[in-house]
Amino acid sequence: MRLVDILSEETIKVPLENKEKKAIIEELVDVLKAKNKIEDREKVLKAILDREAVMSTGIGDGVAIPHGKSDGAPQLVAALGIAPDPVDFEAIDNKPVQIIWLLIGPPGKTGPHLKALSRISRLMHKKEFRERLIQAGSPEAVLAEIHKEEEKYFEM
Amino acid sequence: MKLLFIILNKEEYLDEVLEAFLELGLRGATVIDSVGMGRILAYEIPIFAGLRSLLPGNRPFNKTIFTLVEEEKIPDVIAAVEQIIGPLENPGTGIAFAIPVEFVKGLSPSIE
Repeated sequence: MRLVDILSEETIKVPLENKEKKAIIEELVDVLKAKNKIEDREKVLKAILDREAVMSTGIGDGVAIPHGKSDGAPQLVAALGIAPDPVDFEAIDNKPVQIIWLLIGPPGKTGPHLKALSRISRLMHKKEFRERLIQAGSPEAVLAEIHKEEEKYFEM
Repeated sequence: MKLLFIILNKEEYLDEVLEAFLELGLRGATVIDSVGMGRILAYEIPIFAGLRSLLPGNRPFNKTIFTLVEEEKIPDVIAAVEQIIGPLENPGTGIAFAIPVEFVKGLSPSIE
């Protein structure tokens, strides 16, 4: 598995329209719902907000990875949004975020879920790559950048 | 099944190494704060203070990671670690070795 297997041009939103944490999460869940990647919007949203309540998924350096497990999602899928301007996400470093990944999968599949979370986290450690994503400007270009970067990594 | 040890001198890469373990499907690992022999000799036994100039880099502490892993997975694990911290041949990077395991009990189920 690679991230490009669970993410597609049509689940990348550039730029995000909303400027507030919960609204952005809803916007990305709606993107997945609109493309039939998830079955139950409300269940998925609840799973993500429940996880968010434990601790913010704003992991620092302008990145957030809201995620959860729900039977409203039959398969592991990701959405990605780039905010035109950094927004408050209650991140652990208190800095606003601009790159927001959303990851949702079924409850039984912990392995692929953890692998994808780790891969996203590891990719996002790289400042130069974060900047490339922000500069990309379109879903096609964002996906192409991820493709290019993930080539350097092993198959999960 | 092997017991793989990685002595990680570049401690700042620990998070990334463990994330890569997850991506590779490793079910767990144990991490210990550790310190090399050279550091103890050079800094705690005065007569060996001259060794300080010989220690590679300025890395007094390291992390010892050990994990049970299927033998066929070891090359993938080492490749992932080296992608993060650089070739283990470089001085001051770390050491990796694996030993056979004769008995295992208490492993948590795989997260695959």
